[in-house]
Amino acid sequence: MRPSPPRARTQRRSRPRPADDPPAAVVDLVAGDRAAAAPHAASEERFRLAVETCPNGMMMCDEAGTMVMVNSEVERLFGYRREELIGRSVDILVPERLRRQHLRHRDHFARHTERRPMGHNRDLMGLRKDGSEFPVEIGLNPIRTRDGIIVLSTIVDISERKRLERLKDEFVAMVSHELRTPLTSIAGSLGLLMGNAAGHLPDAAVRLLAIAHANSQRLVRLINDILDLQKIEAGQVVFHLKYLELRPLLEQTLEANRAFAHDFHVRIRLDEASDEGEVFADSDRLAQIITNLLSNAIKFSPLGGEVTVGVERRAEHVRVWVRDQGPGIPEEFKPRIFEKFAQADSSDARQKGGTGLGLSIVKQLIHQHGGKVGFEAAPGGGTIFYFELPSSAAQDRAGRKSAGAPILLCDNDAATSALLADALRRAGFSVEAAATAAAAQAHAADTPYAALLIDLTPPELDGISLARQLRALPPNAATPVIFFALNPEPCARLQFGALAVCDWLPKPTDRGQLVRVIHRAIADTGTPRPRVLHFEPDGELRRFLHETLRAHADIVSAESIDGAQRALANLVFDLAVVDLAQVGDAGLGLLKSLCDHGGHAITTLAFSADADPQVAQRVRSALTGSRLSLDRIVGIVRLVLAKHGGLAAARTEVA
Amino acid sequence: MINLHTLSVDDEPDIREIIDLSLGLDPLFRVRECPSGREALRDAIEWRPDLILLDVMMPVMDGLTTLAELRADRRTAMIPVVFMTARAQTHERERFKSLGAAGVIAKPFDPMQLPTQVRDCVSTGALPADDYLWRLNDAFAALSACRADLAQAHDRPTLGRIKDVAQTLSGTSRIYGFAGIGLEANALEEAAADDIAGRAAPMQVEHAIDRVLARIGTN
Repeated sequence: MRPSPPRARTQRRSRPRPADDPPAAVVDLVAGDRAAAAPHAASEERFRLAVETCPNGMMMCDEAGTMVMVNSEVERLFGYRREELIGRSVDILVPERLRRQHLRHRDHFARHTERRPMGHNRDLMGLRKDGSEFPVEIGLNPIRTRDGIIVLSTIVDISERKRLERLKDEFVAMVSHELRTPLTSIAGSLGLLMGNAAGHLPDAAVRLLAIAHANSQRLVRLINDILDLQKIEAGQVVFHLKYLELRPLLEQTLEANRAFAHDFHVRIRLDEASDEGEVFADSDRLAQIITNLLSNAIKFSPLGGEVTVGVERRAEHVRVWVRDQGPGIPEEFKPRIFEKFAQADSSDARQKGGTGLGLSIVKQLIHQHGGKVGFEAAPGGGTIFYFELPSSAAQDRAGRKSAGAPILLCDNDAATSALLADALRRAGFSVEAAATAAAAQAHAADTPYAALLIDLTPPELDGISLARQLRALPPNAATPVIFFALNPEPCARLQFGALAVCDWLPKPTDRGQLVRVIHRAIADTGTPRPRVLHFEPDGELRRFLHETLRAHADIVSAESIDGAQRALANLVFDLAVVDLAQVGDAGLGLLKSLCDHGGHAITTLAFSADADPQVAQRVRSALTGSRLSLDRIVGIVRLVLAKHGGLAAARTEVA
Repeated sequence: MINLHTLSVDDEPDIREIIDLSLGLDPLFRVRECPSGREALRDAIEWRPDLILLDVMMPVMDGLTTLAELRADRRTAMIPVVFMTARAQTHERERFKSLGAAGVIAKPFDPMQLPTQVRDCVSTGALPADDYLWRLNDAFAALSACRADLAQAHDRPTLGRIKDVAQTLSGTSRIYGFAGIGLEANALEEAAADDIAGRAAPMQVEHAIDRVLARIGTN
């Protein structure tokens, strides 16, 4: 299609910009064409030289990804001559395994044209002519021309930066280990002496030891704070965000700091007038923030002083404040108060045993929670430090009434992940988002999820092995898996074995569909508790397991094979835990009944000395030669709970 | 009082000694020190501890490799492992847990708190449960009687009784968090089964019984 004549374009630009007009970052070369009527050879030459000698690789591609221009740095980076590149697809510079991902980036870029870095937060790789790869950073800049949009890319080799980052990480790990190891011995020995592990010591020795012990503790805190701050600043801290009631958290934190306050002869208390407040935050980190503010307030309080903590709910956010009765902050120090190692008086740290890092850690953590931190003079003397976090809105809370069903969302694209998580939370799920396989595994190792939602957008077919890994973890061995993919059809034909894939979702997904699919997959609303048949001839063990399991399910205990058979004849069970280790052949009869329980097999956890593999296969069961630890048994019962409610029963696999 | 046999693995002798002194403050623990991952594998097979405290950063064979090898060997796979690490950053802590660690304790640790921290890592918490102590008593009495019977007559009924007692003891010990006693009982169960099948070495069952009796008869 021919572009509009310049006149029409000028008119159009004089009107307010329509919503679908390209963003301002699109450089409009068409408008420049009018000037090009009188070409300036000299300026063109300067332009060509600028591109050619640019220390970064520069490349222009058309909408189909065909290279139309490259500079000499591109030749150098990739080891091709210019004529080998022009006219060919940019794909040849991308490693084979990343090509489809690259295609997705390009596709996405074509639909959302704006100037931006490519693959933010992802590792992009370039492929040289000789087949070697190197890490790159790519900036994309769309340019509109007479022939459509072309994309100007700048390419930077970041091998060196990556190497330095790695060195720094190694250095930090090394320092943390090398400094802490001798400190473990020193602080440990002093701690034991102070604890009278070597008998009672003379008073003078105890006083000296107390000094050494306190200072070794301070060194420990200092090293921890430095490393912590380094990690927070580098954005390497993973936050486990959850909806949190502030008051219980404050009460716990106050309790934990009471002994410390006592040492300084300071009282700490929660203000009675505190509001109830709920925030979306990482509870450990929030406790760290409050502890740092408290310890600061305590240290600067006069003997016999009081530190008060309170919560104030405002329109859009919740404010938590800590008030002390200290001397206040010197005017000249106010601008520097959140800086590292900042102390009003350089002797403060030594007097108060602080590290000088507490407040900067608070500031960093609060910022990363999307909040703000500040201080003001308290009426009547002293200082109030406060932080504010966005409050979880009221309608949001109402929406979470049915809450609970925990979902693990595995998507390494930060933008879609945030969108999906938001949609799910609004629909009443509690969501844990994991951007990496390692994070997903860490979550899934501890928490039994109601569903695993995994991004399978090609070529990240690794999602399938991720699903397998997650379901190999005991708490999630039967958790339904929902994949979402750009184009689900080809994926749906893949073989998944025992993965129990519940559904496929196209990406992007509309909220309603997403929520419906998940509800269908977990179907956990309004169904009764699962019922477990527990056969265990040993009375003590039976009671012990009964006590442990009844929190998770209704337990019907049987002490004899006959009792178990009667129960099976009269009731419907979701799981059986049977100890056949001592009952010999009689146990086989029970297994057969479990195998055909009103036409279907009951998932069974059986302890058996002689597991007949054929029977084992027929019963949907796991037979194990030895008893398992209590944790494992509880884990298995909980996973049945998680899949309870009409979901296709997954095979229970037990090592 | 039953002891939780604890193997403490750390390449730093000073730290090993502090752990030993610190756990020595709690009568539950009986500690054996071990300077390397390689030796830990050997000691775990021979000594059959209930719990292993494992340093993460060790030369030659680090804690993670040691854990993997412990898990790969049937004789040590069930022993809970608690990592002691100077690199206890949150994501590493999570990774260790996901690899199957029963707990992660940060270094430097407070030696006066260490016994409580380690107790918290063991599955049933407030150890040892009274139930379990009664069971141990019963098993001890039953096996002592069998031991005497064996001296009189090395016959199948006695071996069968031994096998049953050992099997029950092995199962309950695991459930109550005493993996090492479970392993001792397991070895006895296998020895009795071998003997019934005519495959046992001379005195194999007797030695296995003696080990179990020694292990639970420390009071």
